[in-house]
This record gives sequence, C-alpha cells and structure tokens, in this order.
Amino acid sequence: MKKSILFLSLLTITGSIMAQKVTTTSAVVSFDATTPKDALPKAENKTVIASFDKGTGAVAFEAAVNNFAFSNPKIQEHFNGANWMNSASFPKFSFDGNVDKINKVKFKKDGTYKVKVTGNLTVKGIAKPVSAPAFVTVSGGAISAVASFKIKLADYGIAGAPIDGGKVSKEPKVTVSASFN
Amino acid sequence: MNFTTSNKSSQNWLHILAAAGLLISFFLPWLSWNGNLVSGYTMPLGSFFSLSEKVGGPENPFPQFSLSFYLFWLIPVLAIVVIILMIIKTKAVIASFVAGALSLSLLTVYFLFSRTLLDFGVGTNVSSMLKPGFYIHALSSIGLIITTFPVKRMVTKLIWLLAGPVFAYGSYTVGEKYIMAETHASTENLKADYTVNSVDLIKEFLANDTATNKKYLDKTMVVNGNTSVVEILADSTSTIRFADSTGSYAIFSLEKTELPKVKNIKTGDAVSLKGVCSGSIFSDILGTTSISFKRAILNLK
Repeated sequence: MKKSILFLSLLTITGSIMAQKVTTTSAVVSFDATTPKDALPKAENKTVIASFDKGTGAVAFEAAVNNFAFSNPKIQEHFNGANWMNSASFPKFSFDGNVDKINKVKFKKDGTYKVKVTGNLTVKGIAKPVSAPAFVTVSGGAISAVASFKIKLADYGIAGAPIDGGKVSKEPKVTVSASFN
Repeated sequence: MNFTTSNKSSQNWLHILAAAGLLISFFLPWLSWNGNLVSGYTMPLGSFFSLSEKVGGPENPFPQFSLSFYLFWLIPVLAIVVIILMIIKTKAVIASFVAGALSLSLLTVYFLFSRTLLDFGVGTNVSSMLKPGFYIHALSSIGLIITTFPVKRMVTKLIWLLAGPVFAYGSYTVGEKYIMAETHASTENLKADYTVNSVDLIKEFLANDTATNKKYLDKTMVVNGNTSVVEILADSTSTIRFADSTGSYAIFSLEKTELPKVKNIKTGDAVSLKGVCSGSIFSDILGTTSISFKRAILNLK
C-alpha cells in the first residue's frame, strides 16, 4: 500500500515537472557575421528545436548547421565547408543552459520579463560558456523568448584569412527567438 | 660577323633552355594546398577542382567551361615544338608566344584561385603555398617570350607577356563577381531530384541516417504527406511538419511568398512540398530525428 502511494506520488510529481517543459521545432536562430567589408555572411535557420522548463528555468536549443539559409550559395558552401562549420562531421550546434532567477517570470501574468541566460554553446563539438540577457514574454498563456549574444569564432577553432582580413566578423552575433507551444 | 653569329646562337640556346624549363616545370609541383601538390598539368588533367574539394575548397563553379581546360595541354606540346624548331633552326615565334602567354595565364589563375582558397580556410597565405615549380615556370614563360627571335620590338614581347595574365585576371575577377552576386535559384524553377512520401522518407532516415543524408543532402525534393503541424512565424514565414508514429519528423521552412497559401492549410491536410534537403539530426531535446528542408514552397504542379 505504502509502495503504491509512493509510486503514485512520484508519478504525480514527474507529471507536474513534465508539464512545465515547453518545446518548439520552429525556433529561429540568426547568425550575423557581416562586416563593413562584406554584407553576405549572415543566415537564418527557422527549424531550430528549443525547449524551456518553466519550473527549473532550463533552456536548450539544437540547430541543424546545414539548414542555415544564406542568400549567396557560395557563402553557404563556405559556412558548411570542412574548414569552417564542417557540417558533415558536426551536423548540429546546441545550447544547454538555465534562466537565472526563473521565479522572476510570472507565467500567469502577461508581460515581458528581462532575465539572464547562462549555459554552454557547443559548436563543432567544442562547448564554451555563454551568458546573455534574454526577454521572456508571456501573452495569454503563450510564452516566447528572445536572446542575443556574440560568440568568438576562435573559441571554436574557426580561423582564416577572411576573418583576419575583416570580411567575416571575429565575433558574429547570434540571435535566438522561440515561441513555445 | 662572328659576334652576331655567337649572339644569335646563345639566344637560340637560351630559347631552348626556356622551352625546356617550361616543359619540365609544367610537371613539377606549383602549389601545395594543405600538403596536396598541384602541378601545371593538374588543370588540363581535370583534377584541379577535385583537389580543391578535397582540401575543403570550392567545386568547379563553371563546369560548362571544363572542356577549355584541355587547352593548357598546348603548353608542353608547344614547348616541345619550340625545342624541335630551334634545333632545326626554324622560326618558332607564334609557338613561343602562345606557350608563354598560356603559361602566364595558367600561373595567374593558380595564384588567384589559391587566394580564393584562403576564404575557405585553406592555408594562411598564398606565398606559403607556392612551390619552386611555380617560380621556374614563371621564369621560363617570361624567358621564352623575351628570347623569341627574330622579333626585336620589345613592345610586341611586352604585349605577349601581359596578354595572358591580364586576360586571366580579368576573367577571374568577372567570374568571382558573378559568383558573389549570385542568389539561390527559385525553388519553383528547380527540378526535383527525388519525389517521396513523407512516411517513407522518415523511415529511410531512421533506417540508415548516414547513407540517407549522403543521398538527399542539398537535393531538391518533393515530399508528399499529411501535415502534423503548421506554424506561422513572427516574420510572416511559416513551417510545415510531417511526422510519423515515432515522433520523428520532416520540417519545411517555407518562403515568405507562400504565406497566403499556407494560411489555408490545416493540420492533417494532404500537401505536397518542394524544398532543398538539409539532412537530418537526432534531437537530444525531443529524442527524435528531425529532417529539415529550406527554401520550401507548396508544390502545386
């Protein structure tokens, strides 16, 4: 009897935790490495998988490297090439982190809440800590979030003449926006 | 009289030496791309761009001009012709000028292409890629044009010296500008490489993702199925998802122009989508496989 109660309690707690997690498969990550010398290296990926746990503040996203769409085919080829993102060997990049002080966000009250997100961004198999301000918007029960941060390409072993020559930014801006179901 | 004869004879030997240098150095390494040696004959042999791809560089951007690469076989052929004509003491003006100009144009293309490879993260600077064969070939080409006789006018020789590099540089610059200004062809105008059913497609990826990614990556595909999710994004673009019973799915990022049509599509509707396959990833977040497509449109044909 005691075991059954314990099992049911665990089931209820687990169910409650599960209900806190929202996901989407249509988050958008934009990558902007443009410089005054070159306006071409920027792209968007609109099929990014993201999750957000309203209870713990855990956030994560995964983006297929090959699904970043550039306006110029050649730049897209550069981006995916073996010496840059090497999408053949590292098909996705991901982020795993937390919203600090998640209790600041009132999920039952409409509004935009400024929070701080910290975690690890993994690109080409290299994980580096990232910290960025983010905005969580609650509107009629729906949750959306947006965060922007810069990454140092050198941290992920990405280097080369276009970066040294100022054609590609050394620190591209990454913007993540997601509307959760 | 003796002086003139001896002068002519030494010029003759210099000319033969230049032609021999041109011939031999054509087969020596000119460049090293990350340890892969590239010689003069690499271009007419047809392996120039495959070597480029091997080191992570671009593929041939203008395959329609591939046949013109055979023209560079004229360099060793003309070098041999010049040597023979010199030995039998016959004029070789045109052969010398053409061989020299072709060589200088090929050297220019190799130099410029190596500079382009830097953009692909290959090497650190062009000068560190150059091998002795490149310099020997450059000196031999210049020598061949300068020692061509009985042409005495330096202006004529100067024109032949500059013709190859100027033509190569001009063509390369125009080609490069064309490539950098290029945009993706409209998906509507692309012929589908494959037409598949969404459930079969997902099944194929789940069965062997490596082989299936290789098969479909960057291919234009028409996928037919029943939608599981239709989403309109904040920027007026949309995504449509086909899922299977395991939760794995194919997702299409649709062009902005498709929005009016997408608005009429509901979950469960049968649709046909055309897009460029970006391959699959396994999502640790969802525990399922996600196959994504970009630049997608509703396939109404």
